[in-house]
Amino acid sequence: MANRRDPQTERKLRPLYDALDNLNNKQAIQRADKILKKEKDFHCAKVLKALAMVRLMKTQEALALLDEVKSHFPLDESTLQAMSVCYKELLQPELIPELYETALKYTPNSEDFLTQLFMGYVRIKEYKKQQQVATRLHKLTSTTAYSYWNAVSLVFMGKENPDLGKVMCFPLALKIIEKSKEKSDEVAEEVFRLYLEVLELMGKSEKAIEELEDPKNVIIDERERRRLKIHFHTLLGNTEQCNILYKQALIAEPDCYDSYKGYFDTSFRLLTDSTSLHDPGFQVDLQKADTSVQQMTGLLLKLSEEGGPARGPELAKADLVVRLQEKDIEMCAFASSSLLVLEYVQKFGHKLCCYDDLRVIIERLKDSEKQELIQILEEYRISVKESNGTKAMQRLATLHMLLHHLGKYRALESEQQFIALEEIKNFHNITLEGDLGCAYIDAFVLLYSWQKCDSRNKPDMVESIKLLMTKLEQFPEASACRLLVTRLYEYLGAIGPAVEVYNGLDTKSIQLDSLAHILYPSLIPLGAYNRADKQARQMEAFYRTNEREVLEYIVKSYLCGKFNKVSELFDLHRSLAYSISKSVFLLDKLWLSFILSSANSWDQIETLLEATRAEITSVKTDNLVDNRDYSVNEVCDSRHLEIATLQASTSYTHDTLYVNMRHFMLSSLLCLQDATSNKNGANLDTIVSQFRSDVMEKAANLPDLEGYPIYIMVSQSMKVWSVYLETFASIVTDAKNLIQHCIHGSSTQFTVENVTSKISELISRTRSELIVEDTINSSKLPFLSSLIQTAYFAVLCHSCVVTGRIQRKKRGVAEGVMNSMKTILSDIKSLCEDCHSIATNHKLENLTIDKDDSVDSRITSSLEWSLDEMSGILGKLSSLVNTLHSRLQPKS
Amino acid sequence: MCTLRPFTCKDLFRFNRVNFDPLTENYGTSFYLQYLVNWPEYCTVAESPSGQIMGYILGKSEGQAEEWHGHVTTLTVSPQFRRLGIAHTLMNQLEKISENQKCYFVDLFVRVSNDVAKNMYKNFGYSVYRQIVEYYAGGNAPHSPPDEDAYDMRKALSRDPDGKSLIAKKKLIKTNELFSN
Repeated sequence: MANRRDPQTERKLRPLYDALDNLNNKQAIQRADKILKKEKDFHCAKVLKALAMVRLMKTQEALALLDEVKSHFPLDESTLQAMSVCYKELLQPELIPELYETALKYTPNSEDFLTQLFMGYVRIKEYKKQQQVATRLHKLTSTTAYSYWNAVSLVFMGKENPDLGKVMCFPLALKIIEKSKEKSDEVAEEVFRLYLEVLELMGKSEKAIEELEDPKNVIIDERERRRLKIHFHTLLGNTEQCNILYKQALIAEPDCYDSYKGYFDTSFRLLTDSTSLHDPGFQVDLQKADTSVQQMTGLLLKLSEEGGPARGPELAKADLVVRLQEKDIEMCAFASSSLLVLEYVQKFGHKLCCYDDLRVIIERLKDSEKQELIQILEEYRISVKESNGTKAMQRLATLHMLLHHLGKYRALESEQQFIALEEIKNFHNITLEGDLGCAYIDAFVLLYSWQKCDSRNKPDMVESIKLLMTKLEQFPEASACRLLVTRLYEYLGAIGPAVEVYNGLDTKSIQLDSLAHILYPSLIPLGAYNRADKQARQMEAFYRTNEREVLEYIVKSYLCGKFNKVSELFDLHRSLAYSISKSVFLLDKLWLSFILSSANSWDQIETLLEATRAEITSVKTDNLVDNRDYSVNEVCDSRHLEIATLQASTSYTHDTLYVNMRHFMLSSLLCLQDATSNKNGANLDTIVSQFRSDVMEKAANLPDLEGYPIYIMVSQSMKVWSVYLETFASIVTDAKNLIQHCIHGSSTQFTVENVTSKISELISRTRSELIVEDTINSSKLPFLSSLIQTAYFAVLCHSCVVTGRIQRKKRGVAEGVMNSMKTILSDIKSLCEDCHSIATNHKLENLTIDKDDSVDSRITSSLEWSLDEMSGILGKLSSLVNTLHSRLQPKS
Repeated sequence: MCTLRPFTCKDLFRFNRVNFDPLTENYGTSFYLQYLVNWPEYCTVAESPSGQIMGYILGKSEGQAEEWHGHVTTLTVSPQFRRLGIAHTLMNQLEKISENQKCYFVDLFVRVSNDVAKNMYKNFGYSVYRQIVEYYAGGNAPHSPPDEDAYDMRKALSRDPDGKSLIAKKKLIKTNELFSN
């Protein structure tokens, strides 16, 4: 930050910069104050003090200081630069351009200010203004780079407004690029790509192809050039040319599978002759498109002969046969699809990728073909089972995965299924002793555990955990096993061991966003409130830093001329700013600030409400983006795969509802607070009716997750919450009625019994879910956490009202409300105590309890820990209610 | 069998299965962006027929005059897709780009204890140029590995037919000397 300053200023500010660079913000404020004592109008020192404040989260004070400096129209570079840094860190880049606009009024020809202004507009997507600044810069300096900035700005302007683009922006951008192209002998790759993009936008694909074929333009490598040519020929509908180019690509790289897909797609579109006999004298013609089955067959055979051990041509044979079957064309030159799959397994089955390769084939087979394939593979499996050696074992793993994918084991009777499972388990034991790689053992142990856990029988799950843990001790890097154990522990309500196992993955940085669907959704339901709070706060900082950094890389893209990265980076910026997980984290953080506070007075609660009011407006609830990576669950049963594809959308719906529910809880609290102070409660009706239609109705229609395979189960919390949502609406409506009745003297009758009876019902419901015949159903622990949060919400809403004016006006009503809250809390407390005593007696449902058994005892102690955490929250809440209640008593 | 394509920002959300590998570093977002913005041509993903990320390479070109070279920053392949020649394909791609950029050589760093990687690079034509003392910093956690030396391995490109770039003045250097160069 400290560049290009005059030496005297530099000397004065040096200690301040040092403190900021060393992240010692308090010291920076002290040093700034020291300088400002001597020189009270030292703008730069003030701004640097503001920066330290921003970093200490003293946002309001920082903004006030910045406004003060801004009112003096600062012109020196250091101050402007420091102010820009402040606005970037405050995530308010829209305030930067104004600074430089003002500065440029005094020094209109400053290249540096113009550049800063251009970048200021880039950050906020003000394309027109950035284009105007680029023009000014180019006129001022005649630098070519600025003319490209101009062209790129025009392209974005045109994309935003296609009509304007067609008549003005794109032709102008093209003119600028062509002009500078003429001037230089060799243009940079990025400029050439920009040129192609403009040609595409103007519909000039022929010209683009011409340029790509021009030997002068060697800047792009052969593969990329071919890819671009195919792209433009596709736009022109030149299927024949595309086919020729794909064929050339295959001759150059016979193992690149993407080219096969393109080659087949285009050949089938051009198909004129479906004779499938192979012509032995066939010659590949690289100048003409292939329009017959014979030509396709001929090419594959040639590639297969010349490709040596390459998998590409072999897989492509099966692909061709499947495509012909789909079109009811009989294939004579090659064997049936089942036999080709078998051949493939015989050749490449010892490679773990074999299963992934064949997925693209077997997923397209008809049911009858699948049955035929199961039979063929099963026969082969029996023969392989008899063989020894590593390769045979590896081939066996592939066969098991394929047979699972085809659903072979699902069709078996339970006893046969058991035998098949035992066989897999035995192989797993053998492989543990052998020299197979970790990945193969993963395959066996996962196959076993997945099937075993599908029943949701707890002893089976415990057995699977044991097996998976043994595996993890030997191969700590077996990530798929780690994920599954985490999931199983979560399902069994044991958050402690789940966290411990998951920590072994050592996830960080952007993984925390893309893997937010793993573990985090269980934390609050299982009582790990502090850990959830820690993660939510950590993630808040992550998004803040990353969104800011991505914007700076967009600026960087312009500076180093990598224009085609600009859109991609803006997409990334949006993915982070609108990440569904971000909204979950931010809202949970706000909610947990209540749950985890030791607030013992209404003043303290009000402080939390004010903090919520300041932050909630920045939380996005619409158009959320799902960045979560569902592919981390390695599955190979086709039924599971079908569900896995459903998972993404289900999980998205769940979490959107969750976001809206949390948003409702917090915003209705704020509205209640407004309503008690002086404003009416009209907003509350809207909020409640929106909540009913947007959250409650949709939550009630969520699919039943009990049918989901355990390892890909999405956040189950919304299904649990759906039981409590009706009560939420009642709590808010009753609180509103209470206000109207007591403050505005409306005739609306208020009875706190309405809410208390609803919560009492929930207490019995939770009790019956949790306690089954003197045992605890630990999987249902989330019900208890939701119940406690519902009680917390009821206390907050009603206290909001009774600690305000009603306290004085209608003491009797307030007394009644407080007494009811106390009764609810004491009922929940006794439920917690009952659960606790059952848990300590180790009476977990369906678990064979062996005190020396690590898995069982870990589940039990984790359950006790969760109950303690939840009781702790309840204890604090009771003490808050007692304090609030005692304030209602007349002073003796 | 794979498809090579440019590494894009979207891949940051999708490379988890590759990055679960304990020897693959998870960097901060800005580290990846630095490469994607400055050297996009050096960042390539290998994708399987079913669309999974099999592995990726990140690199750059840097240096002055005859030290102008391609550098491999990260090369990683998911355990499921190992022993298929993916690493070789990705390295070839990076070398080809370095040739296009008129580099003299390609270099990379590898832990001295990582025999598998060292032998793999030897097979690709790389040789140990020098050893850098304590290049890899150990962690503070009880189980984290101690500080470790790195081998700086190089392979000459066509612009250096005599392999001049492979002859080191000093066979053993300290990490700070590396950055002062």
